[in-house]
Amino acid sequence: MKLTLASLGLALLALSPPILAAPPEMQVAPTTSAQTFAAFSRPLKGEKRFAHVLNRLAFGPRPGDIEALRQTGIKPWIESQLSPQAIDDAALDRRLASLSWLRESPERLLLAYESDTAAFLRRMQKAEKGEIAAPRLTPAQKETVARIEAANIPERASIRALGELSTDKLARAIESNRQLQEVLVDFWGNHFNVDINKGFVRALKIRDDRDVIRPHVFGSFRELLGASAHSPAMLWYLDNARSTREFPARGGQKRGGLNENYARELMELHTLGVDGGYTQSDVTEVARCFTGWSLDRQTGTFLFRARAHDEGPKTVLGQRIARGGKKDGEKVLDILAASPATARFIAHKLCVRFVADKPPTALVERVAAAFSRSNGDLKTTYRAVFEAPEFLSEGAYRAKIKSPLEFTVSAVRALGGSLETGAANRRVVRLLASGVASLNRGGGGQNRIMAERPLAAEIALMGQPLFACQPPTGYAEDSTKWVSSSALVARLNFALGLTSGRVGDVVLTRDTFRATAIEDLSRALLNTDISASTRATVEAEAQKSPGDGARLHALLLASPEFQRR
Amino acid sequence: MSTPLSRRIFLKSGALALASLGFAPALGPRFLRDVAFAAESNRPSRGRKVLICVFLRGAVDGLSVVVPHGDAAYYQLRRQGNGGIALPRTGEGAVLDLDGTFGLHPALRALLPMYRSGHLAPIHAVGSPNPTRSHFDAQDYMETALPGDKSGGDGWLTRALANCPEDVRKRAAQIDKAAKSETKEEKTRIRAVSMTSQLPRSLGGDASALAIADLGNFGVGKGAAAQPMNRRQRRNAPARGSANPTAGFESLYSDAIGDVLHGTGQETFGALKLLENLAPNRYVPARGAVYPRGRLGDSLKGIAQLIKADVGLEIGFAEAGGWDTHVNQGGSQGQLARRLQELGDGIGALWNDLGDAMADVTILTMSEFGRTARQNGDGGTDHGHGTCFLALGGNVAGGRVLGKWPGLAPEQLYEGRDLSVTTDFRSVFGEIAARHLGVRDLGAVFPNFQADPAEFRGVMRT
Repeated sequence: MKLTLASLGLALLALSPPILAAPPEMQVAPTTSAQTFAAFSRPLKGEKRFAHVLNRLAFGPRPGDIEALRQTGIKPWIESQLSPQAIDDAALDRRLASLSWLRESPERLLLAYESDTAAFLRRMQKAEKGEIAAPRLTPAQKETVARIEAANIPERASIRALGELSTDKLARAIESNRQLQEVLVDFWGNHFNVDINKGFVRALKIRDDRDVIRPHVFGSFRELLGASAHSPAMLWYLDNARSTREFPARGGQKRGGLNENYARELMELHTLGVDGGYTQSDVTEVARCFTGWSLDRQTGTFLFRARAHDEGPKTVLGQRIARGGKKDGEKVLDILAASPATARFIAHKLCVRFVADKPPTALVERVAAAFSRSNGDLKTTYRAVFEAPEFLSEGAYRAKIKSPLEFTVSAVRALGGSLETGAANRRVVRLLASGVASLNRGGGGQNRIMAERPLAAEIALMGQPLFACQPPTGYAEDSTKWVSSSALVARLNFALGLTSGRVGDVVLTRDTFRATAIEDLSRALLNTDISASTRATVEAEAQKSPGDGARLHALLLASPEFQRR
Repeated sequence: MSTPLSRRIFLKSGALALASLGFAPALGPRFLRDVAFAAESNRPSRGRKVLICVFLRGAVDGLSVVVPHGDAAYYQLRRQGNGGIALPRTGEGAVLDLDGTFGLHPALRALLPMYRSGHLAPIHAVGSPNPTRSHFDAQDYMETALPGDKSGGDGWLTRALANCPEDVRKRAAQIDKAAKSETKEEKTRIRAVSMTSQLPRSLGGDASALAIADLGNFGVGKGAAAQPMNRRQRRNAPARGSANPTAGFESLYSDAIGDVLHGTGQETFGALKLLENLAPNRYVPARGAVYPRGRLGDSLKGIAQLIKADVGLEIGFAEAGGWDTHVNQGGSQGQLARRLQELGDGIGALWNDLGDAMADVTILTMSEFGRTARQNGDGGTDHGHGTCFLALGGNVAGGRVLGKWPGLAPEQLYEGRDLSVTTDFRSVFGEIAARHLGVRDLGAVFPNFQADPAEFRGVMRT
């Protein structure tokens, strides 16, 4: 045995240097090598620039978008996208006005959820039919039952509401003229992730999207952070709603107590980052500051429960916080938003989203500085990213793999398609109810009923169901994490399904697949930047089945080039 | 993580890629230790060992899976009859007694023969050292086998696979071969599959693990998507039926560029080829086995089919939800009983279907935590602590209830309310990894945990 070990060890030692020195046979994923680094200082030229900007700051080009961007110029276009109110989106808004649950009060959304989930209601109905023994309802439960009945809420309303949210998100991503806004809503909605599978979040996510994320993506980070901290969906998702000071024990039973969940994720995921220099003691102290930040379970709105608040003195990141009631939490948010660690963490995440999985350090530092100098003004921070030479560089070009949302939406956009927003909603409801979008995680739903899957289901099959990321991390921004065999199969099938009109709620025009000449196809879908192997494949297939424009489109949408942005 | 390299890099790109990443020297000591261990592998099996994990998401009430009817406190904490959730010792709906102290839930009747023949071992009062009662934290902790660690490590099954003796041997062989720059095409296998639409955390970090929600739909252009939808489109697309729908797609990804997209593409088409002739929709289980309707039954059936197809499966993963029984849990009938019935019948069907092949298979059920010992005001149970796992298989040392029973008296309960944990779940995982999958370096699979064989509960025959 010893002999074997020794000789192997020697072999290993002897082998290592020449292997390291030899030119690698396999090209390793482009990351931080010197070569890649140089690529970030080579400016992107010509046509590629327009496609690149539309792939990063929009969900990919629609037919004619590249020409329009050329006319407008990249810088003016970015500036106009940074002020979306001035961009006309009225036609889309009118179409989406039919999604009425999105305008409902949180109280009614909560009631819809209660009525869909309250098992005791169904029991009560059964009990009335004499099937099982009548349950003993608490007065609170009786009141809820009465309120549900009085509110006259249709069945499955909470699932319908979510279906509407999903339709709204996808329709805006595909068709809105305010593309950067939609990209940023997706980014920040993911940063401040809440999972619709956790209780009340199912109802409250709708208001979180509308009131917490959307209005704040062009404002200051502190405002966005504050909105999230007050969000009933977040308070429920990360358990702060039930975090209280310790009450004196009664009858040997411990009552109340601290829940550190939100405090920890606030620092680890929302602001400082896991290496942001906080300790377990900071977590506990921050949790104490946020005791009493809760929600009214009837109205679904923020509620500060003064009795539950710990009024003792606290120390957070070396700063004293004392007896401020609700202001304790606000003070914590001030400290966190102003921390240099937060500036770096947010800057890095933005650079990973918009530039590359491993962005150049110098760029991250500059963006962080812009964040700090402007007191976390998000527009200033975005400009620091979008106007950086690294953003429009060879190193950034096609450096990211599209997320499932980006891939599917960019494919529909490339084909000039749109989303059906009325009837399709029924399919989305069915989808959500069937558990494919993991509303009932692991539940006994059937998923075979959908010969035509709606777009949201296709996205779910690729591994990133909308609004349903379970861990508080949100989906990773590092795009290599999104690639798996099942996800790839789902992408290829989506390309096939979309080009044969099988994606339930996507509407394509009659002539979409008329083009069969490879030059036309390549210009329309890959902005004429096509690899030799993709070209060869498409040419070979075109010979096998001449005139099958749909298949040729499918191949290009499934190509490695189209998976990248 | 102790093994920062995905297996794919080892297997597909060989040692050159490994070395060019600069990891090889750093790998030294552990690598050498693994090789040493591998030299005395204890896998003299006739076939490849397979582990099937069934994750019961939502925290199953372990006290209802294997009922401690011999513990007097049980009937004080839970009521029988109207609105009660306790299972009676005798009479209608009684537990299926195992040893005078514990009994199986009557809905798990299908598993009783396995217990009697010594192939089912319940492990009771098992759970996590971490006190969290949050589903998603606890599931993450269990699936990464890193309780309390939220940094997002790889799944424990991924690490277990990467440390199987075969892999360790292969790594050695490939580094050896690298000297003569001799690379042999690795035969594609499907080593790990999860019957879910997303890869579960347990298999996280392994780009070669497959998630297949529905075996019948895993394929390019296999499902509805392949056929043009209406007459016009059919007219416009005449020649499609004759061509192999995957052919064009495969050549799109055939370039050996070695980036993550092309690498995954090659894995995927390899798997698709393996599964080409599987015809899952025409599958007939052996010995008249009948899988229950629903996702869990379908998942177990799919796993059985992959095992029989000899695609190289070593890990099968299935999951079931609906265990979060806060309200109206039921007793011998009702909500929980229905879920258990599906679980028991599903495993029973798998057992019959696989027949002799079960000699090489271990099935392990798991759940993130247990539920309160006392029933709550809604005829249900709230989030608790310790629960019960079930291990079944040809090599499981069953026919007895394993673990250390902590008791249900008030002072014996965890925080005065839950079944205490006397067996760390990692000790169960570790025993199965070591004695079933043949993993030698448990430290690499369970960092921060001393998986001490002396502490093993004796789940597997040695």
